[in-house]
Amino acid sequence: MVSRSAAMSQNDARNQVEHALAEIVRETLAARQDIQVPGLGSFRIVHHAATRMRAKQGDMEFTPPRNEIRFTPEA
Amino acid sequence: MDMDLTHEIARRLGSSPEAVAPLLEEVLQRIRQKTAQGKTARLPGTGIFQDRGAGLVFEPDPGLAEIVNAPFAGLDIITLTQPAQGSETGQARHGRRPGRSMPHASRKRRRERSQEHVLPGIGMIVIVGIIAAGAWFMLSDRTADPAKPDISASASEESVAGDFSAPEDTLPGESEISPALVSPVTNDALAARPELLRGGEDIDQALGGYTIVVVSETSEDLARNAAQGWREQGFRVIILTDMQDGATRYRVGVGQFDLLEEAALTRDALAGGELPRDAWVFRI
Repeated sequence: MVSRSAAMSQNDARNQVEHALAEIVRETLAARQDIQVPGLGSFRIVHHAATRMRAKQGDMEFTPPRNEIRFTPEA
Repeated sequence: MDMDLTHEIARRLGSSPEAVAPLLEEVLQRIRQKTAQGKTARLPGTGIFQDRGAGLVFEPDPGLAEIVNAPFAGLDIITLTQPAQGSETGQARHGRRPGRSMPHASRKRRRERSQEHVLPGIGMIVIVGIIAAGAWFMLSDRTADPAKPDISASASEESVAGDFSAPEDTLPGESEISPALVSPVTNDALAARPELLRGGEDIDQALGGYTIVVVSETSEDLARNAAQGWREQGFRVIILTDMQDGATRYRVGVGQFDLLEEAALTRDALAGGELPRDAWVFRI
């Protein structure tokens, strides 16, 4: 823990914070929610509905729905 | 997500926001510095950041991209090809297709070919019938006229096949020509066959085929509740289980279709209306 262990090096403490940050970002996105990281940018889930396309020679192609992670850097 | 990141990290680490804040700033500063130098910065288990001159760009780890797409895992692109001689008419991109199903377009072509043979036959039957009716009329007339020779017995035996006055004699003819009277079943008509989608009985997994997934859950109870809801709306339902990233996923499907084409066209017609917008075809 950051404050509990006096012996913990600054690097270890930073690594723990980094992993905790990554874990929160991952969990939030996995729950299909958006998250903003001040000083970095925001992550959001963009949903793409299924599509139907006319391909060559009248073939028809159906693409399944999907979610995309989109990152917008902080200005 | 509406959360104070510093507080949440502190809570998870059993620390204080005051202790976490400068460390978090260090982490973020390192990412900004590395990317500003044209290097790649990684956020563990999440993805990488890079800046190639057009601003900071994030590329998620494949694992994270899979997690956010877990409800759609295993859903394939479906291509329905135009009918061509000897070709199949529909396929999932990853080649999951039952061998026992006769391609619909092939069935249609076969039906059309059989009609080409049957139609001239109908004309012949009509002509023979007209001739036989005429003969019957003439023979009846002769029977009534004692001056004319009575040949009705032999003549009627010869004209049995064309004797429209005897219903039992027309039955074989009807069974021969009946295929021509049935309209060819189109893909649209197949897509609208209600018994494939709705009915009193649930889907028989042993029969295989395709279903349309309307719910995808990681909880079996939630999936069962959802299935019951669809069942109460009159849909034939099934719960399919699948392992995704070490966790069991329970998919609720409605309808059972022999052919990928039927399922795909039904989904296309009903998604966003009777079925959820993200409903998708899945192999049973």
